[in-house]
Parts: sequence; structure tokens; C-alpha cells
Amino acid sequence: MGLLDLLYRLASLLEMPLYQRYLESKVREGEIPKHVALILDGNRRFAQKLGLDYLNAYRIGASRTEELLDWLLELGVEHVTLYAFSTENFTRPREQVEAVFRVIEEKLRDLIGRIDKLRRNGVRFRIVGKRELLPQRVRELAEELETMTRDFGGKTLNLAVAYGGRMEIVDAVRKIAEEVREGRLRPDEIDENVIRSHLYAPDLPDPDLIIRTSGEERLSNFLLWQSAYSELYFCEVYLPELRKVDILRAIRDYQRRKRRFGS
Amino acid sequence: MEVREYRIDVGGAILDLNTFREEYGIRTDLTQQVKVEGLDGRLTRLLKVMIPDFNVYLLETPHILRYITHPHISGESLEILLSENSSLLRKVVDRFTLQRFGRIVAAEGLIRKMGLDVPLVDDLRDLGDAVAIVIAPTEKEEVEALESRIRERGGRLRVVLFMGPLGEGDVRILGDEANSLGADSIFLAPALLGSKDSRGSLVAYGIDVGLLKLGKVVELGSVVDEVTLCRLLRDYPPGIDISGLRERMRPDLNYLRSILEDILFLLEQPVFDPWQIEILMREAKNLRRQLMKYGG
Repeated sequence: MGLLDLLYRLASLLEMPLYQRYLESKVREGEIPKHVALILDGNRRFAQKLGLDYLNAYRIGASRTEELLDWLLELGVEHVTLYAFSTENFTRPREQVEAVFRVIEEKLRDLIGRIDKLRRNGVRFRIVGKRELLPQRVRELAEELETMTRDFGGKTLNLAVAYGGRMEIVDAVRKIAEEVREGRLRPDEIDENVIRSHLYAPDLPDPDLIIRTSGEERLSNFLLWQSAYSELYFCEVYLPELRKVDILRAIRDYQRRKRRFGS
Repeated sequence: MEVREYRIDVGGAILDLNTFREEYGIRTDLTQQVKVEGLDGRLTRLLKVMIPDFNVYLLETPHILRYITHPHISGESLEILLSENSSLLRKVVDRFTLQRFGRIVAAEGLIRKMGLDVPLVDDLRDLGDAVAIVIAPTEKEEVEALESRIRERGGRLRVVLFMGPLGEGDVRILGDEANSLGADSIFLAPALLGSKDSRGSLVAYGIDVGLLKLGKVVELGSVVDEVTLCRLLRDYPPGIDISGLRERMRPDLNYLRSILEDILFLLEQPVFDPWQIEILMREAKNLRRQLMKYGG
């Protein structure tokens, strides 16, 4: 950590609200989850609550997500997976789908424009999902960012878009079946590792903690295979209203559960 | 003990009770319901707190829950609340059959506002063995002074019944003090017993506001029955002190202002969730209305 970083951190610590500072110090004493996955929910309800149009609500949600990423990286989380758009979400009204992808496109451009930030933090970006379903421009930008960050380091930012957990398993099974048909794999060789190796991001460790915003208590087809042993945390606030204390509380709860059920 | 999973609805939001209890250190494993004739055992209940060395009881009635969850209720509206609660309180006090220990006397006139018709220590001579009722919160010096007042009147303090909001720390200090004066003690607290960590504030759960203002964060819970907790959560403004009768009995503008100030201070902090913020805002509105009523 350079001197400037140290000074910046000190200054931000002093600016931080007291309760947040307290929670953060408690959380830093415990085990930080390596992989945190988030179901980003509540943009539309937030829009309805404040009378905003969806596009603006998605933009606020996206800005909050960027802050969220900073919070997690600062805490030492190595892998972050963001569930931004499911395969089922394509059935929403066209203008809503377009609004989501417009905001994703803006954010991808933004990340490319500020690529140094990802480089500095050693974060590799990747898309998790059926990329062939993405609008062409979004797909191109996402793949450009994947390429740019390929060698950045061991941390990952995974954007789950056009993603469905069941579809991921179906796709894996299809690929395995093909390999069996082609004689490259015997049926008795199929085990958990084989299935895992055919998922969209096979090298990504299972999430330790899955957080869902907006008070809904479902996985909604997110990381079905990978979440078998994940701790789940549901927080009541809508994504655009998410605060650092909510994330800190989620991690503190995770740490308590680990202590309670550990060994 | 089996760890049970709970999801409860707190006015629109679904709360994981286990997480919540742990977050604030709320103890719900220490209470045991006691049967009392005249209490229905559902909405009106007496609970014994299973802590060693001391006789601690919690009384839960709808009126007491209103007292705890609505700090704006003071002055005249508090008197109405207390009078509605008085017959239940009498039944509970009767349950302790205190008269077998001696003559029942009260330390101060406030007891009558609670609907208990008990003579005051200072009004009587030749007390003999005495059971004294004290309205909590109180200091150990007050217990000492009470004992000497009873002694001056030819009596002997046998049992002290402390009634009112209490914390675990108070129970130990007051119980030990009574014990050192040769008296037994019984504690009857409204619905919950404040956390042993509470210094100034007595809360159902939340952050100690007084300490937060001084730059220190202390999360506080309480000892409370699980059913009571679920009933409290929808309306209790988190972190707000459950003040004693003395402060709330007269329309004390300073009391109302200080509670309002605490709520406004808490609302500025990124501490609570939307459903809790809603409760705090609702109570702030009630307090403002009450202040206007008393011309403050």
C-alpha cells in the first residue's frame, strides 16, 4: 500500500459514520468470505417508490453496485459475482429489458474507460451466462473487457447476465453427453468434478456468501449448483438504497454462522 | 437446545429472528411462564427469569407493551394506561402473597397511580415486619434510606419488591443491597429485563444512544420472552430508552424533548433498516404531537 493509499484510507476512515466504522472493525477481525455473490434486486420497486422511471432507477442501482464492489474489494473479498439479469428476465416488457442493457452497456464502457482501477485491484472481469443471448453491443463490450483484464490477477468480478442456474446445468449436461457420444468420456467417469468443469465458470470457487437485496427470500435460479453450501443472507433494502452497513452486517452474520457451525 | 429457524413479519419486512437476536445479543432462552389466576396466559402473562440468586419476573400485558413501545405516552395518557393495567398488576402482586412477610408499604405515592392502594412508609408508625414496594429505576442508596425510614418507625425491612423498568445490572446491585440489609428482594419488570451491558439506557434492543453521542458504539439487547419480543418488534423504536414512571408521569417536556432528540439523532445514523426507520419516524411524529399538546 502506497503512502497516498494509506492517507486516503485514513481520511475515509475518519469520514465514515461511527456505527459503520465499528461494524467494519468487527468484521475485519473475522474471516472474510472469499467469494460473495449478490442477487441485485429491487431497482423497479425503488423506482415505483420514488416515482422514477426504470432507466434512472437502474442507473442508481448500477452506481450503488460499483460502490458495493469497492466495499467488498476493500474488505479483501477475492471473487464477486453479480446477478444482474436472468434468462427469465427476457420475458419482461421490451422497454424494461432495453433499459437494463443500456445501463449495463454504460457501465461496461465506464469500466473500460477506467481500466486502471481494475488493474490496480488485480480484478479480472468475466461474463457468466448465455452470452449469445446478449445484445451484440453489450456482448462485444463485455468480451473486450474480458480480454483487457485477462491477466490482471487472481480476483474476479463475474457478471451473471442472461444467466439461469438450471440452464447452466442443462448446458453442462449437454456438453458431457456429447463427450460421451464422441467417446471422450465414459458414463462411469461422470462425477461432481466433471459436471463442475462444464459449468460456465468452472474455475470459480463456490460462493461462501450469497446476499440478496430487497427483502425477497429466494435464489431465483442463481448459481444452483454452486450454492449447495453457501450461506444465504437477505437484506431488506432495495439495491439502490444499499449501504455499506448492510454488507458489513451480512458478513458479520456469515462470520457468526461459521463460528457456530464450524468444525 | 434446538436452534429454531424463524421468519417473522415486522410490518412488511420479513425478519430472521435468529440473526436478529444474535445481532443485538437478545436473550430469549431465560424465561418461563408462571400461571397466575386472572391472567389469561396469552396476552397477559407473568414470566419468571431464570437467573440464579434473584427472583425476577416479567409482566407482559397489552398496556405494558404500549408503555414500552410508545415513549410519547406520558402525563394524562399514561395515567389512563396505568389505570387500565391496574387490575392485572394487582393480581400479580397478590400472587407474590407478600402479606405473609409483614405489612406492605410503599416508598412513595406514585404507587397509587399504578392502581395499588398501599400505605406509604412515612404515613405509618410501628411497622413491624414490612414489605416495601419501590418503583424502579432506583439507586441502592434509596434502598438504604428506605430501610432506615422503616427502622425509625419501629419496623424491619423483610422484603423489597422493585417494580418498573430494570436492567440485569440493577437487579444485582439492588438485590445485593437489599440482601446486605437483611431483606429479600423480588423484581417485577415490564415485559423485559435490560441487558447487563446497558449503562444509562434501558432498551429492548438497539444501540446505546447516549454512548453513541459520545462516539462509542454499544449494541444492546435484553432478556425477553420470545413471544413478547415478536410482539414488541413491530412498534418498538430501537435504541430508545424505556424510561421509568417518574419521568413520564407528569407531562415533562424535557423528557419528551430528549426522547425526540434521541430519535432524530438515530435517524441520522446509518444504523437501522427501513422498517425500523419507519417505527422511529412514527414515534417522532407522536412525540411532536405530544409536545404540541403540552405547549412545548
